[in-house]
Amino acid sequence: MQIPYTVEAREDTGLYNGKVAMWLFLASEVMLFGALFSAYVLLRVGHPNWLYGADKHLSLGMGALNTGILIGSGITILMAWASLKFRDLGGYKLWMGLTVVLGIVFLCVKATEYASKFEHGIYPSTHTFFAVYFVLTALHALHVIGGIGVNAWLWGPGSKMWETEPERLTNRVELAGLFWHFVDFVWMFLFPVLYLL
Amino acid sequence: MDAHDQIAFRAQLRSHLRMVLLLAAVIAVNVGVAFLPLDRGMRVVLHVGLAVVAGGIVLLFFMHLLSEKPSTFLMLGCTAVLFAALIALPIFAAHNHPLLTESYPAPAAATNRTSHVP
Repeated sequence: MQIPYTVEAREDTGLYNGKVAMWLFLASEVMLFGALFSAYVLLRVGHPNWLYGADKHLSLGMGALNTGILIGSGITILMAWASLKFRDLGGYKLWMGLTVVLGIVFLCVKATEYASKFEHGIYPSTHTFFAVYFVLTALHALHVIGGIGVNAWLWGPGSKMWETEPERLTNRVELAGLFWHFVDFVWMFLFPVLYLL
Repeated sequence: MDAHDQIAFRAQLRSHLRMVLLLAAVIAVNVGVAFLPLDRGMRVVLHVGLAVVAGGIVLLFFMHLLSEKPSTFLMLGCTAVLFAALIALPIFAAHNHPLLTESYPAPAAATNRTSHVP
C-alpha cells in the first residue's frame, strides 16, 4: 500500500504530511523548553541570592565555540539538502557527514565543560543556577544526540532510498534539517541566558 | 527542478548564506554587550532582545518560515501565544506574590552557598 502525501502536498494544508508532523512536533518541543525557561525566570526573579555574572563561573569561550559549531552545522545541513535538490548524492554525503562530525564535536566540547565543572566540585546541587544550567544544557544535548542519530542514519543506510525514491529522501533530509535548525534555535537563547546574563 | 527553478533556488541559498554572516554578527554583539558596564535591567533587555533577533534569523531563513504555507503560521502562532504566556506568568507572579518579593532576606544578608565556586 502506498502511503499518501509523502512527496506531494495535501490540498488542505499545502504541505506534505511529514512537514506538518515535524512542525507540530517542534511546536511541542517549544513548549517543553518553554516550561524550563519559565521555571528559570521564576527561580531567577524569586531567588534571594541568584548567581549573577554567570560568565565568571561558566566558560564563555567554550559556550561561544559551541555556538560557532552549531551555526557551522546549520550551514552544512542546508548544503546537504541543497545537494540533493541539485541531484548530487556525493555532495550530500560530504555535507551530511560534516554535519554529523560537527554535532559530535559540539558534544565533546560540552562534555569537556561538564568535566571541568565536576573537577571544581560544581554539581546541580551546588546552586539553583547550576541546577538550571545542567538541566537545560543536558536536555539540549539529548536533542543533539537524537539529531546526530537521525542524520547519521540518513547519511548511511537511509541514503539507499536515493535509488528508488529520491524526492522522498530529499524531503526526509529537509525534515531532519528542520529539527537540526530547531536545536540551533534553542541554543540561540540558551547561550545568552546561561553564559552572558 | 528545471533550469529556472535551479537559478531561483541558488539565489535563495546565497541569501541564506549571507544571513549566516548577519547571525554571527548578532551573536558577536551579544557577547560584546556582556563586557559593557550596564545595569542589570538593561543587560537583560539587550541580551534577550539580541537572542530574539538571532533566533528569528534561524527561524525565518534557515527553517524557511518566510516561504512557508499559512497552515504552518497557524500552528506556530498558537505556540507563540502559549509560549509567551509561559514566560509572562512567572514575571507577573514575581511582581505580585509577596513570597517572591518581600519575605526573603536581602541578598547581602543571605547565606552565599556559592562562595566556594571558582
